[in-house]
Amino acid sequence: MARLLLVEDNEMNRDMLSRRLTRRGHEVLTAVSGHTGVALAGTEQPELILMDLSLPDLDGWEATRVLKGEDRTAHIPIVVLTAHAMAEDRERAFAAGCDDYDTKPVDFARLMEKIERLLQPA
Amino acid sequence: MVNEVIVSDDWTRNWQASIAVKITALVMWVIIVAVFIVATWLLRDMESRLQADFEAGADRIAYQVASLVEAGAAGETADLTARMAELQQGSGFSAIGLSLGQQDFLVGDADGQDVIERHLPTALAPGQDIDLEVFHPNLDELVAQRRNQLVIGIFATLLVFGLFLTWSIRTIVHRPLQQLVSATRAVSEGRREVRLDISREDEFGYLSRFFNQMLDRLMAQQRELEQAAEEARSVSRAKSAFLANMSHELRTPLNAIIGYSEMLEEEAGDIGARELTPDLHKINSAGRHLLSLINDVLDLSKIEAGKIEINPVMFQLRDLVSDVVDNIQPMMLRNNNHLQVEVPDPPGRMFSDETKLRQVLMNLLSNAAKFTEDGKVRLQLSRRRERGEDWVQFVVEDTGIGIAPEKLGRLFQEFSQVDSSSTRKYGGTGLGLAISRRFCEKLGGRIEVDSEPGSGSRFTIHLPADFGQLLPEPASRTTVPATRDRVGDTAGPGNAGKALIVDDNASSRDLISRTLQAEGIEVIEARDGREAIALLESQRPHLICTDLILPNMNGFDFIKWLRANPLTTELPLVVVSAMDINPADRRELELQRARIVPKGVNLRQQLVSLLQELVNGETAAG
Repeated sequence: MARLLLVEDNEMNRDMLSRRLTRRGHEVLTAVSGHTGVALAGTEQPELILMDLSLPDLDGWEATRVLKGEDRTAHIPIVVLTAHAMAEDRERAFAAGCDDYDTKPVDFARLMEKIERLLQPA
Repeated sequence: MVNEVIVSDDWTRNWQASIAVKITALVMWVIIVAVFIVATWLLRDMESRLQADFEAGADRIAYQVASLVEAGAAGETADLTARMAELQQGSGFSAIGLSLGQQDFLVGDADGQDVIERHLPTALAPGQDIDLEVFHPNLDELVAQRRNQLVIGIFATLLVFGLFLTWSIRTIVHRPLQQLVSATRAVSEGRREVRLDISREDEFGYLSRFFNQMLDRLMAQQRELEQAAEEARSVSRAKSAFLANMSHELRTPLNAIIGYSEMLEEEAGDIGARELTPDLHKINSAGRHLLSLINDVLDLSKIEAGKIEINPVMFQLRDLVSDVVDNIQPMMLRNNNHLQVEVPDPPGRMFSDETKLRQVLMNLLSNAAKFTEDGKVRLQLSRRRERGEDWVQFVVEDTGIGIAPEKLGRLFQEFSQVDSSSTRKYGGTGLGLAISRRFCEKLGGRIEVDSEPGSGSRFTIHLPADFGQLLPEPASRTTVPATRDRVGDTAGPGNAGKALIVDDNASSRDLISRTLQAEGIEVIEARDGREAIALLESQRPHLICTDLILPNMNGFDFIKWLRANPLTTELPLVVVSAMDINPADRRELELQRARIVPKGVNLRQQLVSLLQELVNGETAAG
């Protein structure tokens, strides 16, 4: 269905989410750090990025800012995922330029809805 | 160490209350009564002695006159008169009268005088007896004269004596007593360094010595208590940190359990192994339950550690309600409940902590959903004005099992789910309502419950629509001239800003200043409020970090000054304190918009995250 990039450093979360997305028919690319995520987004041109906030090296906010600042990746919708349910985190994520936001543990149905909404051609 | 504190020495203001005056008055009364009795006795005595003196004088005169008459029977009458005049002048009597046969003689002035009479038989001839009259001043008049003199004398003496007595009591009793009073007052105001003069050898000397000893003991005990409290605080901090870490560590594997079980449930469905689905679903819901327990325990531990922070934002009530309703709908359907939502049109906006309010509403609604089957749950939102303030009211009403009246009282207490059987049946920690209550209180409002067993419960939340109303409006905000540079204006480009650190402890000043400098912030330092105020005349920092216990001017007064001053009223303010701040002070500090960072092991980390927050707040706002 769609080509998604999942940037997540926690192995189990990455595995789980990627498998569930794959089962829904999506092609899932994964990255374990902010830098690799940004690099992969540039080369692979996914249709949507799922971004964890607490990442080694480049954190999720910074990675989002970089992706939204580059011509090649600025158009790709980004959904930020975080374990912190703090309002500030959300505001910071939106300030960094993300398109949507969800908290972990992921409510898969809700996340799928968000992904589908963002993937629909405008 | 003599550290004398003088209370106002103006004894005239309430002179009746002074001990010196009281003692003097008492002593004077006793003396006046005694003197009166003695004086009365003295005057009586004087009167009788005068009377006796006059009688004796009269006898003497009578004898002498008789001798004169006998000796001078042949002599001239004129000679007798002259001799009598001599007698009279030497005697102290006013006049002497004599009747001798047919002849009467009088020498001196007998006018208005008392008289003593003597009848003298003579040897001259029968019928030639002498009748003598001795005149003397009126006794009563004499006594009255003396009495007046005595009274004037007594009063003059008493006056002098009274003044002397007052003065001596003031010196001996009043002064040391006053010092003791002043010292006690100083101690009651928290100045325990006060010590009394112990050079006196009397009771006051002893009292002062023991007073000083008592203060020494108190100070020593206070130090011990402070140490113990500091230890307790560090233990509590460690506990909080442990809980926070722990909850994160617990959540990570739990996420995996929840995620994988959900995934397996789906996969089991896909491959047709439907008999596995219920068990997998149990794993999933047990995992979710455990997660909510962990979240509740973490919330409660944060509340208990005083770490709950209110982050008010402006939000649309319509968005909040529709979000909450979306989230709760699945739970409503599970028990076949109908959710009815009543919202005014338009519901308007609210400035409060949206996350916490959402949590409270979710909690109440999920309780309603949980304890109601095939029933109705109503969520009603209304706005009202109370005492000139705008309030938002949420009502969550259900037709569920209800709560027994005797259980209502402890419903909002921790771990008080109505009974343990309900915990087994309905799940939950019993912490939700306790957390909800604390959150509502933190948001400046309250939560109420009304219930009847068997027919349902009704929870009502009242919250101020504008959390900012609770913060005092800076009085002189509008009077700041627009052209004037406000302290706290955003730092220029390439400059992370300037911070003022107010702390009397050099090492904590140093720690804070190094932390801030590491963040690229320029630092200026002051040791107390006064120094800081002096610095603010010439310096314009963007942030102030202050301790609360400071010499000369303490932190609270300094903060009040800052907030009252138009140039600093909006300045970000951080209180860095080793002291455990009591709830009233904490509230006061929150009202003054001060952020609190406890001094301790992770001061550095906390300061940095606070700074980031402040910086982000600025970028978000700008």
